[in-house]
Amino acid sequence: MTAVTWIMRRSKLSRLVNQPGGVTVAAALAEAAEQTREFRVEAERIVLAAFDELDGLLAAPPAPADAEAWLDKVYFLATRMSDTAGPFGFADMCAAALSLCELADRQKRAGRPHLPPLRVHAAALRLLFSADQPAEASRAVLAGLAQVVDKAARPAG
Amino acid sequence: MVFNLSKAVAMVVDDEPFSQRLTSQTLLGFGVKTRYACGSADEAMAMLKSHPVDLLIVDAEMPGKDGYDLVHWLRRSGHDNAWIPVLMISGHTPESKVAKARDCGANFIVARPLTAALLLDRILWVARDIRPMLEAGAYAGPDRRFRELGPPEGVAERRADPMSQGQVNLSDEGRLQA
Repeated sequence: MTAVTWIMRRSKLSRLVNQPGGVTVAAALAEAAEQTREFRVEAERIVLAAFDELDGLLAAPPAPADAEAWLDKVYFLATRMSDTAGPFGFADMCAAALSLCELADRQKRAGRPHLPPLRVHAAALRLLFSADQPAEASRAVLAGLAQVVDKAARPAG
Repeated sequence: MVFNLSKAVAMVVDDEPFSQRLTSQTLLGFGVKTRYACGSADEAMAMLKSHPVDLLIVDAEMPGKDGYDLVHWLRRSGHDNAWIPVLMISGHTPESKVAKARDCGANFIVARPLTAALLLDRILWVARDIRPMLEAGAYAGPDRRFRELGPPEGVAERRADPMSQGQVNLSDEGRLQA
């Protein structure tokens, strides 16, 4: 039987939150929007740079000995795109980035990088990041990426 | 709803400098000053050993030691910060890390994309989270059943099976021994 030890301790945060004074949720969110207003331009620049870095990585397959580290780079570039753009919208591009994370993770577990589905993702990311993408077209792109990842999960043969 | 976190000491751990700054700046909008901003789990561990923190916000996916490793270490550290509220921010969870994520001991795992409204909602939720902490086998962290407060809106509830309060004793340190 597993011994269970309970720790009944109220956090300091729980005491602080109800202190007199403070702000309303609406005021806090308005102030947060003000504080982060200038971050959007930088976020877009970082995402575009990550696209370029990904394209550079995908230009050629890695040496077998470097495959795992190479796929880790792909994975963390995708998380950078999603983490950076997410707070500013770009939901479809973020979904594509998370799809790329999944694909890179599956390829890593399989021990074999496979460039074509990664390149499909790279192209889709740029497309979904561009302005004025019709919602229906974005949905179709994301559905296509899901199929690509699903196919990558199937055993060979 | 009015809240006051102006005196809370926050730590933000994120390997991406931009996300780290963005989270800190968003917190500032909420009236929370990020006193410690760390770019790695190792850096955070060094700080947490000797500096009191009231709220820890951690990026789950970081190269090397990740956010899960950090929180797992924290809960077992025996330091004053061991049981502080922890929000884990996670985008993609690799299959290999699902169990690690579930068992890391964070108060709550927040899924990206992270908006200011979502972050504030979860911070206020953990600030009012009254679940006891527990150590059981390899797990150390909050009771994963939501009995009193209930999970945040839109989050599935774990089945609650009431603890038999008559079978535990309170120690001097506020620990209940089952």
